[in-house]
Amino acid sequence: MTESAVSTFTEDLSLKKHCIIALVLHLLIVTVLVAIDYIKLPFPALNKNKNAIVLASAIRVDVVSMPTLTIKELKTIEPTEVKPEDKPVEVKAAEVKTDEKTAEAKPDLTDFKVEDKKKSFHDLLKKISKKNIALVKNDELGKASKEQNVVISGNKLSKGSSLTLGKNSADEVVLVNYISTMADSVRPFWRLPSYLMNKNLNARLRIAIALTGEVISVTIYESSGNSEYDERAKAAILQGAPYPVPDKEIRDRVVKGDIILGFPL
Amino acid sequence: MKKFLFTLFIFSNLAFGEEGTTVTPATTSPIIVAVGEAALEKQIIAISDPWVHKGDSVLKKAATELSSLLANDFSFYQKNFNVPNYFGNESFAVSDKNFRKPDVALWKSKNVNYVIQLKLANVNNKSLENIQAEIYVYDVASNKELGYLSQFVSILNLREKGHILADFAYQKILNKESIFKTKIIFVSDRGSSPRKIVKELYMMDFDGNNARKITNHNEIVISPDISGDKTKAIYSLYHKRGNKKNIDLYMVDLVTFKTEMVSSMEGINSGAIFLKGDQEILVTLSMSGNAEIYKMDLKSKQLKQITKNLAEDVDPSLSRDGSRMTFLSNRPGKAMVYTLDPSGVEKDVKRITFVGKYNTSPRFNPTGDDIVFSSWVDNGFDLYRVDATGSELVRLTKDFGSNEDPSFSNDGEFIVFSSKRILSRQSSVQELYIMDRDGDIIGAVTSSFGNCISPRWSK
Repeated sequence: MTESAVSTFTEDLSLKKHCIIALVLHLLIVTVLVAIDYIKLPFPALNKNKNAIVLASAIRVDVVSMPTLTIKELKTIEPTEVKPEDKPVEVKAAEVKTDEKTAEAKPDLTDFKVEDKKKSFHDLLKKISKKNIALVKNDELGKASKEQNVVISGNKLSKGSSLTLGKNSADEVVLVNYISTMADSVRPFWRLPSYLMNKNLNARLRIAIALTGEVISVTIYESSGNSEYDERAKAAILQGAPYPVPDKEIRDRVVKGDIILGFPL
Repeated sequence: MKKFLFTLFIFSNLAFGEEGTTVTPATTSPIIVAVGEAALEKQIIAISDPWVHKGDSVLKKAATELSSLLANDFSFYQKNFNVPNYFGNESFAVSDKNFRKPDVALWKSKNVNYVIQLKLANVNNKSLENIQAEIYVYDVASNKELGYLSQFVSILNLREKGHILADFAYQKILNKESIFKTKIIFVSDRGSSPRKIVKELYMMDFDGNNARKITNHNEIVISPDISGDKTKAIYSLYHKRGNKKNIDLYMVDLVTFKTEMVSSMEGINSGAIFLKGDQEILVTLSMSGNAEIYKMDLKSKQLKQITKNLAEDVDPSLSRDGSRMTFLSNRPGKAMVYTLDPSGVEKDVKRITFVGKYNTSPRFNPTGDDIVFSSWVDNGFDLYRVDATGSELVRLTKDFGSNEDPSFSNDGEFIVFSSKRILSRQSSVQELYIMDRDGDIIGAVTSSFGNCISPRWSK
């Protein structure tokens, strides 16, 4: 064997050795990554949620006078349906201030008021023709709650300015409203026996909804660690069905299962 | 080899590439919406027919009374429990000669969650002074006995012992204290004549039974409080001392009924409440000419000022751990609710209410999270609840007379208050009612007992 042949043979051996080491190292890295993804608990940063938008109920309440309605009465008010065209518009601080000031100046004059911004002659005529909703008394609560922009004295709801959804696309807002409605439907069925209360359990379930509003699937996105708790959350979702028919712009995402409900968060 | 390396490169890129896509926010991320805390599922409790030794008819009568007391106690927690009436239904009775566990399969078929079983035996033959009453609590789902308690009961203390047994069962089921062993003290003008109005201190069980007179001053008792161990009550007496009238502070022993004067300084000595341990009180005094809240040692009578302001500060109420005090002050020009840390003078003062024509009697719940108070609306008072940060102001009563003097129960689930109804131009009646913390009325706990005011629930 010549010297060059020996050298080539040694180089080949060295290359093979390095390749094997590289292969082992890569396999090791892949194994570790798979294990991290599987375990994931000690690595909150690698949690699935990083890709999800967590949304808890957020509303700002300006108290300007003593509440006129009791808790029981407030529970009977139907939540005002938010239509797609009522997409939240960013409210300037100045606008909110003016609104609060007006409400503060005359806190107890009326129980409910329908907000009117313009005061043109046309609006005046309109107002006269709709005089029956200009001033609503307590006993007309049912009617009043169905009207848009109803302000309840003492429990005044104002357009919040702090709720953001990152890109805040119009479709995203429609989807958020849809899921919020779902949560409202699920809530009455979300009940636990005493032995599961106050245990600091938390479960998240992913839901896919058919175009008819029926539930296609409910899967556990994050288990609470207690199978009964998870099952009760699942049962609450199924009991809350059927849900409203999703709007066109969110159909794909609703069917795909971009909906996660947190029990409780 | 090169091919192999290339394949490895592609593979590793694919592996990391997949991971990479999860790092970059996706265009359509799933949205998580919080459903919120679950409500407590209503538990069905069956109080089965009691087992009575040798079917003794007198024991049976005592057992019947105990069973209905248990059912009535649990019915206060109507949002947590459903107590259907299975009592007296022989098909559900444990009628064996020997006491045995209930038939779980039978109760399961009735969707019952827990069974409460009483067992009564007479220790001394034909004497009703020494009945051995045992209570057994069973969990139907797990077919387990959760516990049992034995009490010696006589006809005289049947209700008191019954509440102890009921509290035991409640604690075994929910693992927390109930209201069943608590007392309510209150003031009533019972026995007044048109010529002289007299208001005395009374005490009763939480359910309105067993009411008895505590004081006999033949004067006007106001703003009472009961000690943590339920052995003492403190109250103010509006009476004539010398040539002029004054509001002085008294304490009464609830066992011996012995009274003693605690404070008789010039002006107001009222609104006293016990501090944890019952050795100190918080009291409103106006000897300086301005009403302020002080801490007083009951033995040494030494005072420590808590509020110091040109405005009047009155009506203190404490959280159970004593870390926060709520009180009423007219600092902003009208009566508003405030809180502070009672460990210092004017320490960490926080205004809680900013609305209301006239707010009065703020009372903390045991945990110090919520404050209930009454506020003048239209032609009377109504009750409101606000959290300790000043947010979440909610109305609790409406169209239910004029409602004042709220006081939280020991577990924070209920509120006792006085409610006044106008009967005619010259007459009205004031009764005590209990509602849950959300304003759902449970019922009246006094009836035809004069005008009842200033209830305070024992801790």
